[in-house]
Amino acid sequence: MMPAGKLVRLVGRNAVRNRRHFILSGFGIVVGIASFVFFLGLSMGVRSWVLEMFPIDRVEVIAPRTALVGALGIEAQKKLDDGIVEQIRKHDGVAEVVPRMAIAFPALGVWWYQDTKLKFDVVGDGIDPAYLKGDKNVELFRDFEAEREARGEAPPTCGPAPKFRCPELHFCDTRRMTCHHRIPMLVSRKLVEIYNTQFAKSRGLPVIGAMEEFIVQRGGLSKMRLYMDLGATMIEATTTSLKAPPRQIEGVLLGINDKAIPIGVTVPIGYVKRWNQEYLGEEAATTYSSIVVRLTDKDDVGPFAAWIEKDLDLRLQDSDGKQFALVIFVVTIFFLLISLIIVTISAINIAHNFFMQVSERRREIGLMRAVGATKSDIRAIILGEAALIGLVSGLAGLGIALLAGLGFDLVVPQFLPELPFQPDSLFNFYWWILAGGLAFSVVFCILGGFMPAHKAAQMAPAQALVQQ
Amino acid sequence: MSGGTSELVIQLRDVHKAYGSGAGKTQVLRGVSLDLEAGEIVALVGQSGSGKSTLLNIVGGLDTADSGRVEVLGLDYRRARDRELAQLRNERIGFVFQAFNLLDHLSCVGNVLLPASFSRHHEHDPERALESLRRVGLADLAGRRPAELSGGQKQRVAIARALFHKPALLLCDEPTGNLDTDTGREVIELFGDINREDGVTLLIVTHEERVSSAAKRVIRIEDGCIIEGEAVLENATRADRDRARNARDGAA
Repeated sequence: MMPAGKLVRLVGRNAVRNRRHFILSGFGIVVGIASFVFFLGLSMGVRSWVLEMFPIDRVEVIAPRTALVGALGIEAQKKLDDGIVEQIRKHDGVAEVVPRMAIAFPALGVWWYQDTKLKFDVVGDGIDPAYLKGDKNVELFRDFEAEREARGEAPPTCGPAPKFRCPELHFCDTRRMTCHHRIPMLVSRKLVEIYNTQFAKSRGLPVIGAMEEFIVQRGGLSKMRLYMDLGATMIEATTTSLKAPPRQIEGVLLGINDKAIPIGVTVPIGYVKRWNQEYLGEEAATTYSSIVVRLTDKDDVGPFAAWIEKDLDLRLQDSDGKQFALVIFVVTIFFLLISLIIVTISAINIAHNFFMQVSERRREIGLMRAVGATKSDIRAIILGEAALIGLVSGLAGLGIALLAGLGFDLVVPQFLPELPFQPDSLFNFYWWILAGGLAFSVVFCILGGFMPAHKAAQMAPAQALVQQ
Repeated sequence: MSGGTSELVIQLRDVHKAYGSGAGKTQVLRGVSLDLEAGEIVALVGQSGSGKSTLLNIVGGLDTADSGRVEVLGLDYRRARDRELAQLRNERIGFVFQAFNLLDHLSCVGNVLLPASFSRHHEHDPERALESLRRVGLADLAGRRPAELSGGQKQRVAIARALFHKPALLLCDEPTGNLDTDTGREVIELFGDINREDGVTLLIVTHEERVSSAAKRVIRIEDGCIIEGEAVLENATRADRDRARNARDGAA
């Protein structure tokens, strides 16, 4: 075959000469590739956004409450304890096991906000701080009490009444008259969104944007305090019998984390174990509310769920992420199919155009054969022109997709409901999407040019040269 | 008669060629045999449809013989691969056509450089193209497009293209067919110069007397058979002569 440099020069010259034909041939490809890349980028962006909130490689094992003997009103629930945690940890394909423990007794939350005292019954749980490793703003999510006990130090006593002063970042437990480090707390993005869309709107309060900004505006971390009356509740019908009288503790809100309980506050699990022990006893302090399991492969969820159900008589909690991911997948496939159809029709159009071109350029092809072109050279020239259409159209398609994505990001949020935690961009244009789009374009154009190229190569030069 | 030691540039033996099939089949060449020695200028004359252009195309490897042996510049076409044939056309054979066959989107230099695009051994050398144009007296018009040239100038550019790789054989198909008398004479003189100065062998298909008169040998072809000028043949003379006589008698 002719040298590559000469082939490129010849193909480039032909492209310039036949630019109208090139533009017409490439138009459909541009549209097809632009839509392909746009929808794939959008799909990937939305998918990663959704999966960030609802990771599908993490499942939550729960023990369903079953009415064992309905008539007697007895409820049975399998206990999730360290034994179960160990069993799950040893199972194949399990990468990480994190038990969660709910605050199993009533607690009353008090939060001063905008000079207003907000009181509410607290829902909360505890998780192992190691579970948050690598996340942002979680350096202070530690079990300070356990650390102090590990150092063998007794808690300092509170200052005299009525101020009960304690060291900085500590609060006074007025029942015990000892100072303790404020308890680090996290809330979920979902809770903040509920606050923004439901609570703040109805009460004319400002919405919370980025929690970190909000914290700074409110005067720093030390001001984001939440008081909890352990053992107290506003619900009069509560029948839980507690082993200890109420006492107040003080927490500090560290920020937002998707691993926090969806509605409620999450603290280091050591605190919850001690509180459950204090108010309910040993059984509550050793019973987990759920166990989060991260699998090495998200495709193993099915077999894992079957094992959990069959061997351990437990269940997986329904995953919103899985359902979202399925919907996104279906929608993505639909749009990719449309893109594929556009590109295929464009490739057929390219084939048609090239057949016409080959017919119109018979004499030129015959001349090239006469001056030394082989059949392979002629084939390479036609395929090279098709590939060039694919390359240029593909690049144009990528450019249009990226610009459309940019425009989409600018315009669409104005028409969406207020979602303060939506990502900066709804698109994830991974390199493989761009490279794949370009390759897709080039390959389809080459496929379109294949038959015309073959026809041109097989043309008898003597007959081609006598074309009028 | 050719000298026994002369180098044969073209050797054809019992070459047949037909177009079409079945009832529509037309026999164009009927067992043509021909030898051409290096340095000859041979005019291939005959009426339209006599098969002279087909013969030229077969010699140039632009068409294939149905049967018979074709050997040009030492390459046996029956055994040659497409790549070898293309290389022969690229480096050792030049073509000049009646319709010039210049590419309108290229300048004169670009047209002359076209063979370089397919050469594995020669670079894209515009200086060499200019030298070719100088050889035909058109160096001043190197940057012009074919549309800006007269018929004679176009044919000179086509000749410059044919000479670009300094071929051993020039195959010309009605080179003066689209030119007026004076321009045609100039082109014929140019062929003479090329033959004399560069030692290029020329096989010129023509039906014009003024061209054939400039040739060192004239081969007349009629109904696919060589009927005159075949004396140079050593082996196929009698068969060709008989066939030619039969064809002539049949035509009469």
